[in-house]
Amino acid sequence: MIAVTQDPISIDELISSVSHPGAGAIVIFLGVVRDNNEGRKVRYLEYESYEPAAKASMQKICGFATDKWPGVRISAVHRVGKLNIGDISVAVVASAPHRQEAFAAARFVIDSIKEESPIWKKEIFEGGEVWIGDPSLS
Amino acid sequence: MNIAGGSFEIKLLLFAQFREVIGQKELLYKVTIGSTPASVLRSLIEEYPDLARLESVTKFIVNEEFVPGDYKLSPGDTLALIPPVAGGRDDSSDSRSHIH
Repeated sequence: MIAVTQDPISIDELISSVSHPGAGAIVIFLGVVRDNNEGRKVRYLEYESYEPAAKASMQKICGFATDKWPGVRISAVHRVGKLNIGDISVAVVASAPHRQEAFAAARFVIDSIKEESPIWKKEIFEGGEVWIGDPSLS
Repeated sequence: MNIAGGSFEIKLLLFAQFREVIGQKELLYKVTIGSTPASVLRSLIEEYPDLARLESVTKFIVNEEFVPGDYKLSPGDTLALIPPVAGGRDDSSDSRSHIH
């Protein structure tokens, strides 16, 4: 399952989507909204995506991972819209016969989504707001 | 599609900083024959100088595929301007390999 959604992410559904009798390990990564960033007190985040391109990018990344680690099944969901502290913004769930491949694939997929998929994050903090990745930050 | 007077329209999709500064999610944008994503970005920056900081870091998607800045636009193309994505890594290790 690959999705971009406005709704809360259902972990149970993601686990079911990768479970199968040959899977001896399931790794779950959850990205969660944190209350601070680089010394700023974060109030909430707003995520925005170019949905068809984001889904295509996530599909491509997961396809690459299942080619690289045969036997792995992966689901990834990114939430968009206003997210509060503690909300899950992204979930990657990978199953594999053994844990090594499940960890490696999940790690690869979340790192690649954050680096490449057209999904933007605006941080609204006490005293201002900023798009993460904006050149004015560096 | 009619190409009158050496110009035509494309659909421009705007996200994040582009959407906020320009004030629209999408718009029909008139370009001249030979225009490229980079030239469209340049003319937007002339109109909205606040966007200049994004010129060197923006990527381009035409009809849902990443393209280089010198791609030749055609009538009816949909051009999305892609400012830097959230990125953000917890540490210096890197499990990725480049896949485009």
